[in-house]
Amino acid sequence: MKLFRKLKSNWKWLAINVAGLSVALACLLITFLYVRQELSYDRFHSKADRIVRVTTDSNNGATSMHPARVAGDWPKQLVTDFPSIEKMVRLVPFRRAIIKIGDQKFYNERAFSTDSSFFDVFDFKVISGNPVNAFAQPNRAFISRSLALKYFGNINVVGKEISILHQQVSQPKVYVIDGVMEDFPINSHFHIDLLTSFTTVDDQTTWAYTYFLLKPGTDLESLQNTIQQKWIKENKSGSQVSILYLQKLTDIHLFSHKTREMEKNGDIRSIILLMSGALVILFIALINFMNLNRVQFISALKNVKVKLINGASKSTIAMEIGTESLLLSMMSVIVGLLLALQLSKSLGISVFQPDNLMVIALITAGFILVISVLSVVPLFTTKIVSNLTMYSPKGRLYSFPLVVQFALAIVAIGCTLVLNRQMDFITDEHPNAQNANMLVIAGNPWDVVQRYERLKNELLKHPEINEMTAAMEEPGGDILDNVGFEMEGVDKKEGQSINIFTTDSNFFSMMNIHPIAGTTELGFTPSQQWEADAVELSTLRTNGKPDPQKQAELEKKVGNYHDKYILNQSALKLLGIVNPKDAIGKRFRLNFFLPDLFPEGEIVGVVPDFHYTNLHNAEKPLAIAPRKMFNYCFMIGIDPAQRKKAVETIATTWQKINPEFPLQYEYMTDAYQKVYAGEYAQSRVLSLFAIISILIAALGVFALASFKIQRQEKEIGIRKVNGARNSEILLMLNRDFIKWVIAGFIIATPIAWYAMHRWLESFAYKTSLSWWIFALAGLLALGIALLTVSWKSWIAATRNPVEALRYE
Amino acid sequence: MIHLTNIDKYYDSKFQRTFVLKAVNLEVKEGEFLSIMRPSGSGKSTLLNIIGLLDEPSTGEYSLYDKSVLNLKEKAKVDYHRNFMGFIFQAYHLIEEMTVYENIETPLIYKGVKSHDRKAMVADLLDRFNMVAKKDLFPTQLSGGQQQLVGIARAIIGKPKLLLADEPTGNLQSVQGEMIMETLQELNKEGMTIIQVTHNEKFAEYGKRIIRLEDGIIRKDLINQIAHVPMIN
Repeated sequence: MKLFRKLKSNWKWLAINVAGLSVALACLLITFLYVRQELSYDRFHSKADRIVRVTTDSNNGATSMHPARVAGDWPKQLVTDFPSIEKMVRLVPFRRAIIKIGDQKFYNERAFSTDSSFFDVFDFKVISGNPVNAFAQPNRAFISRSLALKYFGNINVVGKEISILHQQVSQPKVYVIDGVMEDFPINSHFHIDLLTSFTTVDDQTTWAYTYFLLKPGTDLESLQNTIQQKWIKENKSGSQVSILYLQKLTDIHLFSHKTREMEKNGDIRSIILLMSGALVILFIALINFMNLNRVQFISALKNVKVKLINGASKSTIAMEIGTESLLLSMMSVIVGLLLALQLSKSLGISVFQPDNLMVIALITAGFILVISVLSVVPLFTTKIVSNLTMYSPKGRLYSFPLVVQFALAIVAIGCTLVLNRQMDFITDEHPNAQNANMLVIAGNPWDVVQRYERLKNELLKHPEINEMTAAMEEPGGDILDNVGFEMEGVDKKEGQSINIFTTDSNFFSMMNIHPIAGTTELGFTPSQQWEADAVELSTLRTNGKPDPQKQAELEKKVGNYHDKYILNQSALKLLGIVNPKDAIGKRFRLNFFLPDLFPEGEIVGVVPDFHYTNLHNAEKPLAIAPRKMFNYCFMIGIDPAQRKKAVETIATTWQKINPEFPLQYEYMTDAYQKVYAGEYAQSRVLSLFAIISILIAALGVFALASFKIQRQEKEIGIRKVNGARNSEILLMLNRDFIKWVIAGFIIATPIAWYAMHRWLESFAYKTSLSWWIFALAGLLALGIALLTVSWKSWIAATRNPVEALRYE
Repeated sequence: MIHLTNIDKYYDSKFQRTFVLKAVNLEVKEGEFLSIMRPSGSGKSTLLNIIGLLDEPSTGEYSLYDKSVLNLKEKAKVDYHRNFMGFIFQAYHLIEEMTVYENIETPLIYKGVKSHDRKAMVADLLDRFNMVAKKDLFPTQLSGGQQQLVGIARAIIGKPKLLLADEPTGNLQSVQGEMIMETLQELNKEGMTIIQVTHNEKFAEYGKRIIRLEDGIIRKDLINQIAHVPMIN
């Protein structure tokens, strides 16, 4: 009853406290559980600490690549040579293979071939079939539960058949299903729906994600060094030796950002950022609570004294206050849990799982404990002069916590501003990233690529299709292939190479990329027929079965094309050319393994680093040539006024030309957004966190301002009676808050600057950390604080002073 | 019962020492009703605070039943407050969120009296002060005199030996003041030792003994001859 009455009289304070604390608790819970999940990646494998992934860095300067997978049979050799390597598992992606089950045809990016050691190394659950010796025989497959349910309707599929049509292979391969796997847990760095055995030796030497299971107690670093030393010793080619990396399985998800990762990985930096964000909110809310609690304590100080005089000891009063705080913390916990539940749903983070309940219970218990401990702090920090004369002490606010609160809020605003600025910067850097009228059809199968010209000709007949181009990679992808070259005026260096990028001849004009020297107008460029002839000619020359007549015929068809190359600025840097104009007209030749396909030619243009790939990595030095046979990505510009019709046209034309392949397209903007999905999610969550922290801080400032003004009512009255103007009263009341914001700003700026400096390090291209961003953050905080305070101050300042003085 | 010897209370500022009490010697016997008279600022509250163990003298000796009570530990002080003395104030100092009943009950809770016994004890007192009907009201709903009655009830519910009253009638009209003083006198008759501070001559007269405090020094100490004669005014 007593408690209820107390609540009734204090409901405003209670509401403000519950609002702040519950939101903070919700943020903390969500973040904590999410982080816990991120940190748990791949740890469910019982041998997780002994599994490593093998990768190599090609170690050749600017064109170096360090993909997540390796090619060749050397890993197998390592297993035989080094007894500390117990087992090896390779995972070869089918990539764009078409899977056929019954009449249903579909792409599945989660299809791989693997070794028979797969289930020995990894602990994925098998729900039917025998994992022992799985994949030991050719043409065997395991599928996931969800794939089974989706295409068979049940999981009793052992013995049934599934066929896969691989790129560049005309006949589909048929696999017998040997078992069904439980869907892989979220916290696995890869998810597989279809797993088959290798059918040919060739399958085993292509690009494969390769894992070693090491013997217990193996020293990773020394093993890595030993192998590396061996490689260096055995190297006779004179070129650079690749650098071997044995990467711990448990490090992959948070620390690995190589090209061609199996799935987009998380990032330890975003984990730290998120955790800091949640802690900032928690601190702000706790500081709020401390301040409000002290204010309330001071208002009720008389009661405390009366109780002390009537025989209460400090500890009994501490118990009373602590118990009362339980009500507040319970309410906050309930509201907080509900909020967290709602938030987790809308953020798509599944956090309320049974094994998380213990953690949730612990966090909430800790939270309740902290609140009750904090609630009695003023009892022990306020000097209670137990005096019969009950004057109320001039309770000053805690200014330090307020300063910290403002500092945290300013850090939050500052970081959010930088984050959003960087995301805008990235989007602006990419060519055509804002173009909503461009469709991207990426990762096309070989057959589709060879029909590019037909598709393009058909499509351009329709007025709603404006233009079409193609490139070797999709927007935001990685350019990896590099070849040796020769160029007039550039000294030949051993092992020197340049990245190769092929595009259709209209790529630059369509992407709005303008040359900084020479031209991107290429005029005549080879057709796909010419390319086919060139390939045939080169094959003829090298296959050891001379056919002079055919060769002469092909030479005649192919021979008179003089190639046109375009370089980007990074390439100029590689070549040591300062003035782009100096490159124009120079003879240039790529040492491609099919020499006729890239004949000698000259540099016709230089373009800026146009950032078609993602901005986490520095721009590669590119030699760009107009070719079509490698352009796996198509881009189609459509008439915005006839969007729907255009999409229909594309679909029907596609169906006509590529009936056996499903059409999958996306818009240009989405293609880039996809690459930065993690960063966008980060910036969204952090923006949300920043807004929340500002709101909580504002709430607290509002409550404190009302308290402060209430205490100064008489002073305001006296000043006004003595001729103070409203504006002067306003200034007097707001001055302290301005001081605190400024102090907070001084603390916050270096912290925010450092945090963002570190975050931006993950980008090769970054926005500048200008001073005005932080100034803006400070001003925003000041503005919000002043608005909140002034609302109350204005009412106080404009009141009739007589009212305040009458009751004295 | 109370023995104060050479009590000084002073505050040091930069250049001078300000005495609030100076060489106060005072003995209070059990069953006394002592009025301390004073002009404003003569340190009467300080004296009462020292007696009530809410303040400590700068020098001097203070013993209760021949036992020194200076430099007591927090726990011992709380013990005295719970079992030995009660306080009433000029401004009543009732807890406004609590009803009359709850206010009176407070000291018993801290004393650890069982709920059942508390009910009986509070009911007794309410009955005695004719306030049964008001037990569920809040202090703001009562007149000043009634509030002070609640204050007295709260002070004596724990059956203290000593009642300390700081200007108990200071905020009251004279009729209500008299009612309060009569109540105190009655309690005294029942054996409770009472020390009150007042600047009202008339109410001081209710005491059996009156001392005058001026500038921190006891100027006059006289046994009130007419203490038991009701005042005719």
